[in-house]
Amino acid sequence: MNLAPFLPLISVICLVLAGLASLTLSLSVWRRRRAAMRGVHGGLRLVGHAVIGTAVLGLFVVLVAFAIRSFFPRSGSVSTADALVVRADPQRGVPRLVEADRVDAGAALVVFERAIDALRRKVLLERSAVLEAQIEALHLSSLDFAAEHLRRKQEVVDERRRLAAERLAFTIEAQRLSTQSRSDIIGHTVQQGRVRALLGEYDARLAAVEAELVFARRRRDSGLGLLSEELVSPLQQASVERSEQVLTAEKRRIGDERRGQVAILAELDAGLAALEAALAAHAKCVDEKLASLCVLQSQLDGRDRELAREEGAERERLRSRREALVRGIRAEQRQAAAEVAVVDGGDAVLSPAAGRVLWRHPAPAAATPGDPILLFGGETALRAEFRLRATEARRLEDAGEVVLLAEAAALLEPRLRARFLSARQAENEDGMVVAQLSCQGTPSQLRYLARGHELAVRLDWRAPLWRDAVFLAGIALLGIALCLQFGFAFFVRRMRVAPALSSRSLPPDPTARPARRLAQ
Amino acid sequence: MTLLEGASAAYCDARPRGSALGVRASIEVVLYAIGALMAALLGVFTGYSLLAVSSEDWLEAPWTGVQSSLLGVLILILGLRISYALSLALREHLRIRRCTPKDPVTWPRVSILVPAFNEEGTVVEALRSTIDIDYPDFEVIVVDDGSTDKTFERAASLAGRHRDRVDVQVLRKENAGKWSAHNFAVRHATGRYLLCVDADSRLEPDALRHMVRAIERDESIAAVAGQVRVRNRDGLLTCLQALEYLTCNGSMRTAQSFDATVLVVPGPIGLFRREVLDRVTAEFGKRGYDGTGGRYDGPFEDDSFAEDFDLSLAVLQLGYGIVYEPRAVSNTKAPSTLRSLMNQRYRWQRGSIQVLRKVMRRSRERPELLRPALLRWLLLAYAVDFVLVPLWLLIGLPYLLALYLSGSAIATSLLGFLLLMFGTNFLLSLCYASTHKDSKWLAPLCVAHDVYNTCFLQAILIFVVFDEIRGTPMRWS
Repeated sequence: MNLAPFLPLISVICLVLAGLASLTLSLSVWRRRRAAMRGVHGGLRLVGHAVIGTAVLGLFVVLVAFAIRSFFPRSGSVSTADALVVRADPQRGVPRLVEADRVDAGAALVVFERAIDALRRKVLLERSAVLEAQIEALHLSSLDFAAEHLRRKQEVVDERRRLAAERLAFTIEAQRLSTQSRSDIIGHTVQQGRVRALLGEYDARLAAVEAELVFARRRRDSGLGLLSEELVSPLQQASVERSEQVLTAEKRRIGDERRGQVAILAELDAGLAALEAALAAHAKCVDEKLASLCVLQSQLDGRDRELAREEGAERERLRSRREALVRGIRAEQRQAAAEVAVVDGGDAVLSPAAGRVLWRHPAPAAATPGDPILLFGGETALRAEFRLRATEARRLEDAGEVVLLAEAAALLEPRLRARFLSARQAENEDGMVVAQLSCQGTPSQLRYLARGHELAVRLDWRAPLWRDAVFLAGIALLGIALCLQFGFAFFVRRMRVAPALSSRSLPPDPTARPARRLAQ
Repeated sequence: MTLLEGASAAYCDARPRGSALGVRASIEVVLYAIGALMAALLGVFTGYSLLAVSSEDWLEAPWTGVQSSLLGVLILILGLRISYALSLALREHLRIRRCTPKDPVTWPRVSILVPAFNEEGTVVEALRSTIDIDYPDFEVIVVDDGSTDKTFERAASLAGRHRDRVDVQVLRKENAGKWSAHNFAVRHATGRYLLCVDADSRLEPDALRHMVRAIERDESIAAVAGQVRVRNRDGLLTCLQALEYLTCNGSMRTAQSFDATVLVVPGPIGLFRREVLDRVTAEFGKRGYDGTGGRYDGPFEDDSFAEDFDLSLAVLQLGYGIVYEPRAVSNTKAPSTLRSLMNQRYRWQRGSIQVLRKVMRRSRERPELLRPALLRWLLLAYAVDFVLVPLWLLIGLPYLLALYLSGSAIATSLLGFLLLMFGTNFLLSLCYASTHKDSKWLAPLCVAHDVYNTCFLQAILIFVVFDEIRGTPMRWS
């Protein structure tokens, strides 16, 4: 029989037994000493022995309960039967693991990539990048209109600009001419007024000269009579006659000047009329010219509308063309992506159902052939099975999370957390069940399991002692012993036994007497 | 320089420095050194590891953290204590090896005191072994403490002068206890030195010469403790006790002897200076009994079960030194049944507590009596026995067992620690057996001895403390 697994238990039981024996013996010695001190007689010692015996029996039964709890096999094993293990395979290529923890059904868990595939994939990705850049460039480029259309548009613009310039120049010139004409008319009118004023002045001066002349003539006529009468000197007469001549000459000059002014006035009137006629003709000419310009403008507007319509149509055509180009590039991109997908999905392990990645190799590319690189399964994929009593299984279900201890020496982390999952009746074994526990392993444990090792575990949980019948029986015995002890103590007090010391004392003796000395 | 180092030069024939110690002595020295080193390393590393682990446990499981912390501290202290004791024992051992005490010019007279109570089966052999002692001038005083058997008659058959060098007196008095018999014998003793032995002990012939040589080394040495060896090795229990006497008592006393502070001069063999006992009587022993009820005043007192421990501490408190002489051997009879063994341990442990309380009381009244070396050794010896070992049993051992059963990695490490400790104990058992000239075959028992000493003998402490707290009256058996 292999006792090695039980050595810890045996050694602990031996130690506990040694301690229990020591305690019992000490209790016995102590009680004997107390009994001796009190002088308890033999009958009561028997009761005392019964108390000790009951207490020891109770302790033994409690120990047995402990032993049963400890001795009952709680070994089981953890399996990953429901989990998918993906292993490294250099023939298939370098593995690439899914990054998400939770994976839907059909998703790729591991993709094996070969070097040529990687290059091809890289080329396709580069191609896709180029196409993307082309699309971006297309979006950034302007629409490519036809040159004829642009030329015609430019002509219209030039014509419109020319017409505008012409109209402006014409308008300015017309305005200048009109202003000039009006200025001339005003000048003429002013001149005309001035001439008329001069004429009036001339008329006034002519009248004054005429009056003076009349006066001079009357003085001359009267002087002649007076001269004759010698009333006046001839000199005076001559002065009067000279004055008359001067005045006559003045009258003539003024008359001449007046006529000159009248002629000027006539010229002015003619000029004014000419100016007004010219102005009217000019205005008419301007109106005609403006009308012709408006016609030209409307023609240009018509051409403009026609050109805009043509441009819209052209723009639409160009946009359609660019979209067609983009669609073509997109199609090429999709083609490249499809080719990448083909490369990617060339050798992939797909998840059979929705679940989670339980463990993944930290460096799958460096995994040795056959090494697990990914462990995938459902929430309860990691399961431990134990053979337990049915009552114990029920208590285990109530216990919630428990700890399992792995017995593999290679594991640095031997503890697993587990929770009761289900139990089924053990075959041909009444009262026993096979309990299944859902485990949460650490990465090292999962790696160990993924390598295909059998992980033997021990359930580090025991049902509460206070629900164990054997333990309760031991406690009951200890209680009985305690009650007996109290009753015994009460009885001893009632008996009022005398101290035992006096019985051991010797009768009074002389304080000391030398012994007989035996001479040799 | 210790108390004895200065005296050694004057009273010893020192061997030339650098001379070879011999193969056996060298092996003993190496074993001592290995033991000290291993104990220190194991204590420090295991204690530190447990403390480091416990710091992680504190947050998750405070009780586990407390347990592992206490366990770490315990192991650390125990390891350092063993290492310290071993290093001092090594130095004492080297001192004894390198220094052979001179014989006195005239061997002083020694009185051998043999109190006896109901020892009719052993007293004659004890007296014969005493008479056969190789010593020029001594007397034997047997005091029958009111035996109810034929002890007195058997002892009286050997009374008188033997071989022209030993006088045997057999006295009888009313039963009052061993302490009283000792005091009564002291009153009748005429020797300069008093050798206290038990009536069931058998002295080796050269024991007295070794002890006298040791006590003559220095005036400050008031007492010499001899080696107590179990002679009835006819069962596992007595063999375990033999190993216990050898390793526990012998090792501590050797270390304490380096400071001249041996805490216990054992009852089966202890040599005292007469004037020191008189001073102890004057300082502490005046009760005014004057023989009433068979009780006599003297250096031994009646208020404890451990009158030898009481007297030793009284001597140390007065400033005298006590040394250990392993070559002076007294073969005594150890309890051969579990019940008698437990009875003996009850007396020893309760007596120790009583004496320690007495020392504390005296020290409170007269603080100068609590000397540093005495305090140090009391802490090293009894703080461990009465505090740390129970703590280890209540907290450390259950924690360790729980870890062990749960298959924890720490428990495996601690198991390795225990195995190494067992190995160290084995080496040291061999070493002590060699230095004490005892049988090497006791060494393999060291594993059982650890269980016996640590687990088996400690339960009685519960009842001892209970009785001591309650003040239960004392009774020898």
